[in-house]
Amino acid sequence: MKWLEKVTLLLGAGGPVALFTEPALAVSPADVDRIAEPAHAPKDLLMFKDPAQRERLLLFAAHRSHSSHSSHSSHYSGSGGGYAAPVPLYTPPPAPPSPRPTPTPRASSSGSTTAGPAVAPLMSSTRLAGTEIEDMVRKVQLALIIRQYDPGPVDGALSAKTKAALSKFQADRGLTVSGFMDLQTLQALDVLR
Amino acid sequence: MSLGRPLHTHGELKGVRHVRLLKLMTWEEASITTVPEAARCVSDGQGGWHTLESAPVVVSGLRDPRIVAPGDVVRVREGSSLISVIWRRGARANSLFATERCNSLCLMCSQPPREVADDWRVAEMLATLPLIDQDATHLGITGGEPTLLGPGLTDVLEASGRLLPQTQLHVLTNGRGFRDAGAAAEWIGAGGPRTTWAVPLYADGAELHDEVVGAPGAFDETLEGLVELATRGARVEIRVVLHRLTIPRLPQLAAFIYRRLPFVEHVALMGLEPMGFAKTNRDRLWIDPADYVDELRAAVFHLANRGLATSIYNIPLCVLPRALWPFARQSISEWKNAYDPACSGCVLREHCAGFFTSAGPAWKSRAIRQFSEEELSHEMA
Repeated sequence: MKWLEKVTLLLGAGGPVALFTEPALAVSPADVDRIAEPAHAPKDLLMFKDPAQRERLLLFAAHRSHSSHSSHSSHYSGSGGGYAAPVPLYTPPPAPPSPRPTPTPRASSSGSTTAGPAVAPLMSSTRLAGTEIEDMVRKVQLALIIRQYDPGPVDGALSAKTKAALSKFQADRGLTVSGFMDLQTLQALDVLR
Repeated sequence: MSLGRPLHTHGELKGVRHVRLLKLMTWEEASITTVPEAARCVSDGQGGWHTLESAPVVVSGLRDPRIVAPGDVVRVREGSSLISVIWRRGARANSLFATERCNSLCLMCSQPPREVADDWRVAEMLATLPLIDQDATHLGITGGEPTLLGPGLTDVLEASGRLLPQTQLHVLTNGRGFRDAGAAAEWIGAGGPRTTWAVPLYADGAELHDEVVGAPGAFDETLEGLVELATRGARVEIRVVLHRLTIPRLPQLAAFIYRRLPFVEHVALMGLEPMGFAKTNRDRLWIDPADYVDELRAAVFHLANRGLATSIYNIPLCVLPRALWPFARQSISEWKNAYDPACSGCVLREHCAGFFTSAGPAWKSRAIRQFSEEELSHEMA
C-alpha cells in the first residue's frame, strides 16, 4: 500500500489532500456531516456509571498526575460501580416536583415510614374511581408512545400489550419489572410528579 | 394565558420595616416548623397573613390571593405594596437569583444584565435558605453570572449544604470564572457532589461562540473553566440554545462535546426563550424549529448513541419528529408556561413542553398542530 493510500485510510475520505488544502476540515471533530447517525439510540447501550471510570476518562483527558485524583473519590457517595443499562438515566434539572407536600412533622405523630412523598398514601388508601383509572392508563399509554414503546391503542385499558410495553420500559430503566403502573414507573414516565 | 401563577402580586402591607422575607404557613405548620420565628407568617384563613411578633407584619387585601400559598417564601418591602414570591412550594423549578451582573452579553439573553451593586442578594439568599422546605429536591441558582459574587457564592453554597443537605443544586454559569483555579476550588468544594454546574456552549470554535455571547475570548475561558471543573470532579451539564447562529454547527458542536468534554453528565439542547435580548434580536435569531430538525436530530443521536444523556428543552412535541420525542422534556417553569389555542384538543398536551408565555405570533412554528388518540394508536406499529 502506498503511503498516500495509508494516510487516506487513516484520515478518512478527505485524506491528506484535504489536510493540505483545507486545514479546517482535517481538524474538524468528526465527519458528522457525512456519516448519518442511526436515528435510534440503542436501548441496551452499556454506560459507565462508576465515578472511578469517569476519573479514568479524566486521566486521559487532562493528563493530571495520579495523586491529584485520590482526593476526588470522596466526592462521590456512589452506589456500587460497574455497568448500568440504558437511556435517559438523567432526570432533567427542572425538578420532578413532589406534589405540594405537607411539612415533615418533627414530632412524629405516628411511626411514619421513610417511603415516598405524598403520593404514596394516595395509591394505597384512596381508591381511584373507574374513570380515574382509565385516565391514568391513557396517560401511561401516551407516555409510553412518546418514549417509543408500543402499548397498543390509546384506550385506557390495561391490555396485555400495554403491560408488555410497561415491562419493557421497566427493564430498560432498571426498575422492578412488574408490568404494572407502580409508583416508581409512573414517576419515571413523568405521569406522576 | 399562563398555566401557572405569576410570582408577584400587590396587597396592603402593614408593619414592614426595611425588607422582610416571610415563610407563609398554616397555624398547624407554625407549631412544628423549624423556620426562624421572625420569618413565620401565618394565615388568618381569610386570605390574609401575619407574623407572630408583638408588632406584626400584616399582609391583606391581595390583588390575586392565589399567587401565594402556605409553604411559599415571599419578600415584602417598606413603602411598597409588592409581594414577590421567591420560593414556591411544589413548583416544577425554583431558583435563587444571584446577581444582575454578567461578564457576557449573549445575543439571546432572557435576563439582560445590569451593572449594579447587588451584593445584598448574597445576604438575601442566605436568609432565604433557612425558609426553604428541607425536602425540596432541586434548587437552581441563576443570574446574571453567579460566580461574579466570588466568595459570596461560596457562602451560599456552603449554607445550602448545611441547611438543605438533601437538595440538588443547579447553578447556571458561563464557567469563565473557573479558570481561576483557586476560586474554582472554593466553589466546587462548597458545592460538593450535590451541585451540578450548567455551562452554556454555543459552538465548536471561538469565533462563533464569542459572537453569540458578545465577549471576545469567552470560548477559551469557558473551556479552561470546564477543564478545571472536570479535573476537580464537579458535575457538569452543557446547555446549547438553539437559534439561527448556533444551528448550522450544531452537529459539529455535539461531536466536539463528546470528544473534548467526555466528562459531561448531561447535554440540554434548548429552544429559544422569547424574552429580553432575544426579542430585540428576533430577526437575527429566529429560525422555525421545523427548519432545524435535521441538525437537531444529528446532534441528539451523535450524543445519545455514545451514551451521553441528552435532553431537548422548550420545544413542543408536534414540531419534533417522533424519533426525538423520548428526549423532549417539560422544561418550562409553570409561571411562564402556556399552550397555543391550537393545543386545546391535543391529547399530548399534558406530556408536552408547550410554549413560553412570552412567545407571540412572531415566534410560532408552522408545524404546530394537534394529535388525536386515533393517530397515535395507529401509527405506532
